Amino acid sequence: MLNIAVLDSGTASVGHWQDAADRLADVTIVDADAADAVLVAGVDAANQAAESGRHVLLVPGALGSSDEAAGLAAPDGTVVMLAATGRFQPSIREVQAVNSNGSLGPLGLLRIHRWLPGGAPVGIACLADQLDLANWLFGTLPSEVYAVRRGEAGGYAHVHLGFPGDGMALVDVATTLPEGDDYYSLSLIGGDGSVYADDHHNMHLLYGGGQPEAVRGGESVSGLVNLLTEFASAVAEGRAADPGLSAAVEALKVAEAAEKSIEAGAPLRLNETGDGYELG
Amino acid sequence: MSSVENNSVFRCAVVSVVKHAYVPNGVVTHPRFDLVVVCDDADQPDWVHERNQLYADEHGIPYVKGIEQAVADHDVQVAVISSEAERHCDLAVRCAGLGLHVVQDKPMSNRISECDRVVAAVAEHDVRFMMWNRNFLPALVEARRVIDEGGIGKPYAFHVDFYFAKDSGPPKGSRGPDDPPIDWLERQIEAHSDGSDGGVGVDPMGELKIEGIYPLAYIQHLAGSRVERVYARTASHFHQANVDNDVEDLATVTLEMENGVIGTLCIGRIGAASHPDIGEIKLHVLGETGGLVISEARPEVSVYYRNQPPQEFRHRRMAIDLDFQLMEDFAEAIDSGSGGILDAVTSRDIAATVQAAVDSGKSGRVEEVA
Repeated sequence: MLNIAVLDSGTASVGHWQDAADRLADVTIVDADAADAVLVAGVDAANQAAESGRHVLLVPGALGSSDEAAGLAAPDGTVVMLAATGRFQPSIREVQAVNSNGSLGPLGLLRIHRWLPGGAPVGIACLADQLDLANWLFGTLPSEVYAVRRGEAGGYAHVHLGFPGDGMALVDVATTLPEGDDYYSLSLIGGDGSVYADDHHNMHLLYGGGQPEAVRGGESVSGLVNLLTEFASAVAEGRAADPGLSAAVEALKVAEAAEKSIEAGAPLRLNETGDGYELG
Repeated sequence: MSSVENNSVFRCAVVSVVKHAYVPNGVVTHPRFDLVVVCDDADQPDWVHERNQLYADEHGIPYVKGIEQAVADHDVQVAVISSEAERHCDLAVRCAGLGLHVVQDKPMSNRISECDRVVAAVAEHDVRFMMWNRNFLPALVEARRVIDEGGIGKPYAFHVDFYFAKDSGPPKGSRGPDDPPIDWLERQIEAHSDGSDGGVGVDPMGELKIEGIYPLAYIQHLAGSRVERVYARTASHFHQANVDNDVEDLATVTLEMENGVIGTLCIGRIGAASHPDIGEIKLHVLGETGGLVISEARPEVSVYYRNQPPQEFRHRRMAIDLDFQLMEDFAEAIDSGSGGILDAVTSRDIAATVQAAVDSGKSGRVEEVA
């Protein structure tokens, strides 16, 4: 049994984490003093928990830079996992399943639309969430990064990636939707096939007078269940969890390259050592 | 007043019809346009004459080897051009010089200098010009209505996915070590039977040049802004013909437009296995107060039955009024002397955007649109 304390729930509510844990026989949500694992945000909280011997599930949104993420500690015997909720959504897992089994052939093109309400500036951490998916699906860092930002409050960012070989990706994140539901769309085109995971396709209709309303057929807490399952399995098996810390560092590096590209108005390229991006 | 209420009928010459018959066929869906002759230059190769003759026979009109003679003998007012791509503009310039209004198949040309000649000729001879386009598809009409009514506030980002789920000859990697590279024109001539010969011509063209006019015209139509800077990634990812001729069959394009508007385009001929129908074609538009997601194919009806031929579309588009509306718009442009839905200047700007994207794909840099 893995006892997890939710110290910071990230973008999901505590209730959602509880609902997810209720579906698992080997995971229980507990108070902090009874926990052998914690869900936290931020490097300090994560390192403090790891040093005290607790396993760590890290909410990625609080990481401000790749340097900060590189400071995350994972002492021997401690599992530190990135709570990359996107990777564990059932629809995205299906995308990766057909990708990783080779059904799509060599990858050509990834397109992601991530639209949110709220109006907050699209920061590095918000971009990194989606760029992590790009890195994961292509299995490597992009070789080129070009980006633009729009909106008075910086509520829109678009990132254009090139991957080694033929691969390419377009990722846009907006926070300019009015209050209400968000929107997500991911499509992946390979040499032998393609896959489309798209909220547009999964809408029901509500007729209440006037034009009908779209009602999204959601994926409930299945993504959190999948995520907790991986975390609990890694702890039980004494292995590293996937995604680990390096995924967070790499996604943030790409997001930082996007920020630099926005400032420069030009693309950045992966340097020869493969650990950073530079203009030219 | 509807253009149809004007009784005058425009007599049209089909000036070379070696590619898509859908353009002249679309023209005559409108009662004010009548096909009276097919014509072409006498020095064209046999396969060109054979296709022209076939179309003339199918429509019960004469085929004349000599464009100027055909125009003079048949009292023509409109030229409908669907030749090889590299001849498009020269034919348009000659027809404009004869005082004809011009309807032209895509691409406008594979050279911007040729597009510039058309812009000048159309202005000099005061005739109307329309690039064939899809801006009046029902989904596009709906998108335009929502935006015009302020449904998403001021739009600032336009994204188009424009995939054709078609094969195009042998797949990438299929050429043996002793096989010659695929000849582009021969491949396009062969492809006529299944309609995948959109790039017919001597000069190889990638998907951006063959199909790019459609999605870029969507963006231009909805945004009303000119593209200033382009960054693109291009690849020959699917088809051996594209690899052998160094032209892309897959591309992503970032468009930086006037007034800070952003556009993006995903385009590709992604293989028949990639979609049950012609391909996923969608528009995502963001405005200051909302977002809009449009499926270009809708409305459609789903049809499935035992022993259904594999090539038959399962999802069939309905209530398509595109051809009539294009020609209605063109008739109004002729009557009023206005520009119309996709005139020569706008078409030339789109061709320049395409060229900037092709150049960016090769240079890896952001390219200014000429």
